[in-house]
Amino acid sequence: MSEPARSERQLTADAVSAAATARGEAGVRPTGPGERSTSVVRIRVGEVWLGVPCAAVETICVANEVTAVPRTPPHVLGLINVQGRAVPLVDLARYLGLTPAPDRDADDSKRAIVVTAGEMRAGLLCAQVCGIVELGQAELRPPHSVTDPQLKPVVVHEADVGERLCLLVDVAALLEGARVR
Amino acid sequence: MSAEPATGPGERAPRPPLLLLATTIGPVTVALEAGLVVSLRAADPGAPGADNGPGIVDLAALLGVDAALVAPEARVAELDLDGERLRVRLGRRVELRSVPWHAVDPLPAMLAGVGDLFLGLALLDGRYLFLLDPDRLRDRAPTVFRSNVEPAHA
Repeated sequence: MSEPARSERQLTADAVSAAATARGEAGVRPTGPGERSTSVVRIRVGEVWLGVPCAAVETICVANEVTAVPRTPPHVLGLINVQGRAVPLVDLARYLGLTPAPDRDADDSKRAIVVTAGEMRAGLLCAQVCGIVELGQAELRPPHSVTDPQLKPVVVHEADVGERLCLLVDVAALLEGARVR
Repeated sequence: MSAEPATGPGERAPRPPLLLLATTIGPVTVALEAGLVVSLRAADPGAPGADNGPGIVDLAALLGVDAALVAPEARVAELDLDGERLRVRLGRRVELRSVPWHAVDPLPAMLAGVGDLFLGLALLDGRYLFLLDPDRLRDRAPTVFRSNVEPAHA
C-alpha cells in the first residue's frame, strides 16, 4: 500500500527543529551530562508561549481546508485532513480563554500543531510555531504564575526561554478536556 | 450475468461502492445510504404538521445548525427502515454520491460525543461528509409519525 500523499504545506517537527537550528535561534540549548531534558515545541497562542512536548507532536501543518462538524462546542473548529486522516482542529485560544494578539496575528494562515495522546489526536490552532527547545529538569518550575482556571489544569511546568516565559502543556489533559462528550 | 469482475480462487469480490444521498445543511454535509430512500420531493411549505410540523425528522435541528444558515427551501426524503417509514427534512441541495467503502472512516476519538448520530465520515472533494446512522434517526423520530407499513417486496 502506498504512503498517503503529504501536503507540501505540511512540515514535520524535525523540519521545524532543523530550520530553527539553521537560523541559529537561541531555542536549542545543550544540557549537562546525565541531566534529563525535555524537548518541547514552542508555540504562541495570543500573547502566551506554550511548550508542547515533542513526544506528543505528530506534525505541524497549515489548516486551510476545515470542515465544520455538527454538534460540537465552539472550540472545535472542524476537521482537517492530515496525511489522509481526519483530525479535529481545536481553537486553542478559545479553549484556554486566551486573548488573541490582533497586532501580531494579522497573518490569516492557520497553523496547527498536530498532537496525540493515547487514542486521541487533534490539531491545535496557534498563531506561531517557534522551533524546538531543550529544557533541563533544573529549568522546570511548578507553574506558580498560572492562575487562570482554564489554563491551570493543562499546564504542568513553567520555564524561562530567553526573556519569555514558556508554559509546558500536559497534552493528555488538554485533549481530554477538549474532547467532545 | 454478474456485473462484478471475475475473481480467482480464495479472492473476494470487490465490495461495490457505497451509494449515498448527500445533502448540505448550512456548513455541514451529511449523507444517507441511498438504498433506504423511497421517495424524494420538495418540502410543501403549506403543510403544517407534516413537512413543517413535529412529525418529521428535521436534520437542521438535529444537527444543531444555526437556523439563519439553513436555506428555506428543503427536500423531504422518505426512508424505508425495515418496513418502517420515516420522513426526513433535508437541505435544499441534494446529490447522489458514490464512495468506496475503504474511504469511510470512523469519527476521531476526540469527537466521540457526536459519534452516536453518525456511522462514520468520508472525504469527498476535499471536505468531509458525515454518514448518518438511520437507526439513530429512527430513535429520534417523533413517534406520532412513525407508522409500520408492509415492506414493498412482501
